[in-house]
Amino acid sequence: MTYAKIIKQLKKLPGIIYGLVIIIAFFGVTADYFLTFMNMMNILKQASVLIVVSLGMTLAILLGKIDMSVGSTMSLVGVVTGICLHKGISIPLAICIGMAVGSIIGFINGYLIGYRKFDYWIVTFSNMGIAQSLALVITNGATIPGFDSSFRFLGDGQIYGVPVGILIAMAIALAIIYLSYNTKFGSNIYAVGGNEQVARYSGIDTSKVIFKTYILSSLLAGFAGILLVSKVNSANPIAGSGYEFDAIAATLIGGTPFDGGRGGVLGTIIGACIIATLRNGLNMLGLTPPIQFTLVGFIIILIIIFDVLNEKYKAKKGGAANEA
Amino acid sequence: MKHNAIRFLLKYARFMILIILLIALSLLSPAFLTFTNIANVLGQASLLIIVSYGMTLAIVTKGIDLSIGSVLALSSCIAASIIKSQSIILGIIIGLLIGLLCGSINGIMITKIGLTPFIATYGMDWIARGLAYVYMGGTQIYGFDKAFRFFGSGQIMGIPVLVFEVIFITVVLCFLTYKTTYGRNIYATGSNIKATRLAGVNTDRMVISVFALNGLLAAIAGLLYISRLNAAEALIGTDFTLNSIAATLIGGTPFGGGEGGVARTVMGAIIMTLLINGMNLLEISSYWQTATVGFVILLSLFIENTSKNFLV
Repeated sequence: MTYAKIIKQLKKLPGIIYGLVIIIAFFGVTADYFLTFMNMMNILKQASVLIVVSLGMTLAILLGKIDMSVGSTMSLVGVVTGICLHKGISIPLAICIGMAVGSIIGFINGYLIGYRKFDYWIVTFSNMGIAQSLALVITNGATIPGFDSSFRFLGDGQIYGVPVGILIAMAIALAIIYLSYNTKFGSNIYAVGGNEQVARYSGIDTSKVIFKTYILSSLLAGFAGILLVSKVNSANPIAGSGYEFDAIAATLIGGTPFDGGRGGVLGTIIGACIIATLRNGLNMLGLTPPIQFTLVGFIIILIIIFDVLNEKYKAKKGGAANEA
Repeated sequence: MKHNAIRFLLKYARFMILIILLIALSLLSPAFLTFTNIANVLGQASLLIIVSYGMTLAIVTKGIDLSIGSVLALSSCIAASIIKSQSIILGIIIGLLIGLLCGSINGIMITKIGLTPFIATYGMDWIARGLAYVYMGGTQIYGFDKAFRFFGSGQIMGIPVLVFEVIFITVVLCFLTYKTTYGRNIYATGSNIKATRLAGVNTDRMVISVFALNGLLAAIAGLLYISRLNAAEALIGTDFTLNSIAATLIGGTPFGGGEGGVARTVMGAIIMTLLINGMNLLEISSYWQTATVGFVILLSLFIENTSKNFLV
């Protein structure tokens, strides 16, 4: 049963991987230095941050909801951890403090959406503003530069030429894959996303499932924020803004549609790699930041439009088949 | 008895917030009750009110528009360059057309393609902001003609012109939403889109037109903003989106659609402006502003949620 789900996802993967190959081929031809070992490692480092945050977004979308606050949670956790490290607190403790602060955002999201039944868009969007604002207040708008090499090892280090960040991202991805495909909590997420009412009638504590998922999403976002700080060696209070958009795109490309209960985290990993490659490639083409910014926004919205139209088409076809 | 008290509190919560704010601010800051500050608050409130009207209409149709701030920036930047190089009237017309276009694209993405309003307008937010940056290339446009500046910073008998303009827009929108078939159809679409469609209303057209109107209002606010500021740059208007959501919700238009309206939003926008003005006067770091606005949104959701339980 659980393996059937994984196999179903694996069958869908080739389609997405072709997309990745086409994008790599395109930039390989058009951009100099794109197909170098250095740059590929760079893409993997970028992708590792996006993979971690996208996993949380995927869980929220599987619930049939969304978490717009992941980007600013990344910023907030990043600066909190950065400040702790500069105060001389040990690395593991600083990471824990950062994650704890980030989980407060998830706690508010989860409580208001799960138990108070508030609209998930508006709650997570408000929390996006709140977390962003707090990150700016804590740092007073300044960037916190320069960290220990042992901390930088997380996001920037290499083991036998392989970036440590991507290894960590893969480890977390494996844990989330196990969680979502093989545990009761995982199938509860799918059940709530498929039909919340039916899930409640069949005895699932839906409020608790939603609550836990949002906390998990904020923890993942927080860890992504820490990886980002470690990768770029500075904690910027607006570093994470925009990551929510990339994470949504990675999830949709990976085959998890907005309506919830379908898809899974396996595809999201490839989806995140595609977005990271796209951003890197446009950078390598030498486009100025504003043009990149616009172009990526444009491409992502096109991807989302394509995905929604595709789902509509499939629903229509499915409906016709059922009638016949 | 106890319920009656809570009911009373909830019903007049907004008035009380406003009065408490006014009293607290005039006690805490001597600069608050001065003529310059009041004129300043009125000017700021006017712009927020115009933008919030658009947000209110979007929320009444059960949507939302996250692109307001960026559409405002894009349309006013392009208008500014035309006003400087060509003529004022041409600049204004093109600015308004750009707002209209962005809004219509939002509406089409939502109705014809079927995107969630949140995603469609959030995408538009990124694209419009990016285009504004590309267009301006990091520069500023400043120093407009006196005639153009009159719209945003002029005064008639000591009262800012903006106030008259807002009153005019308010009257038009109130008439449109409360007294015309079109307005009633907006509410019908928001409260039950399926039933409205079955009743023979072209709901797609309603939603597209509301978002187009939204873009137009954002463009108007943008033009007034650059006229008041006497400068245009790509990063203006970022706060407007969240502030206008807060103004709409605290004003009493609930998130469920089909209820509330533009008349209520005036109060919400004034509360939000006073809050922000007060924070500035008390010299609280401007970085707290977004967090405060976020808390206000969550608080008004709480008020709405609790009053639902009590007022049934």
